[in-house]
Amino acid sequence: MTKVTEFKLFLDSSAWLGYFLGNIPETKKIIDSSGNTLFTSIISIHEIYKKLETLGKTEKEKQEAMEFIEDNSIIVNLNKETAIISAKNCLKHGLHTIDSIIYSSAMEIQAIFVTADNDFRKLPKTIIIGMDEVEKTKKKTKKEH
Amino acid sequence: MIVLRITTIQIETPTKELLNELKKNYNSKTYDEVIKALVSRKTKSMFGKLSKRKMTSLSKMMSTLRDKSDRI
Repeated sequence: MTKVTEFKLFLDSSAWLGYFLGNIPETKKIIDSSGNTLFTSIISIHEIYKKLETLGKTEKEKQEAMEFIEDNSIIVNLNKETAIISAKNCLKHGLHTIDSIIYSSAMEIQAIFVTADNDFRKLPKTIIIGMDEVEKTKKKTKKEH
Repeated sequence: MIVLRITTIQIETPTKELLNELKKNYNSKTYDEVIKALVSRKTKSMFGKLSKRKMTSLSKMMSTLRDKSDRI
């Protein structure tokens, strides 16, 4: 399991979803720990809500999740400076637009970026979580074949 | 040794009084500690609260989560 000791953690949509759905155990320690200050991009609010909708969650469940994020993290809005830096990071790191906006928002506030998205694996100041689960799934799939 | 930069902020007097109260409650030495405690305070855990009997796989969770193509 990834050891997280940093104070400022910027959570990607996948980290929040892994927490609510309970399929990334590492998120429990990261999110429930009182030692961490959490940050969330406004874009993640859109992505998480949309994903919960497609997974068939009720209105009450979606609202609870949104309120939890608001109560337990600082929502980071997009601004001109981040938009420009994220454009540069698209080219520098080969990221897609949304990936770059969210990653750059984290870097702007000098936070550690926490994600389950493997596209960020080579980026500095990034923690990839949920890999244990991915490995388990791969092994399970191999056995089945 | 890590030297942290310090700065000055302006707050209203009643807010400072509230911070003084919290400082006593939290047994904190500094206002900085009180503010950090407030910012990192967490509500009751919601870990796994939206999972049903059958857990959503990571691949299902990640699929279509984010559009990985650019408009331009």
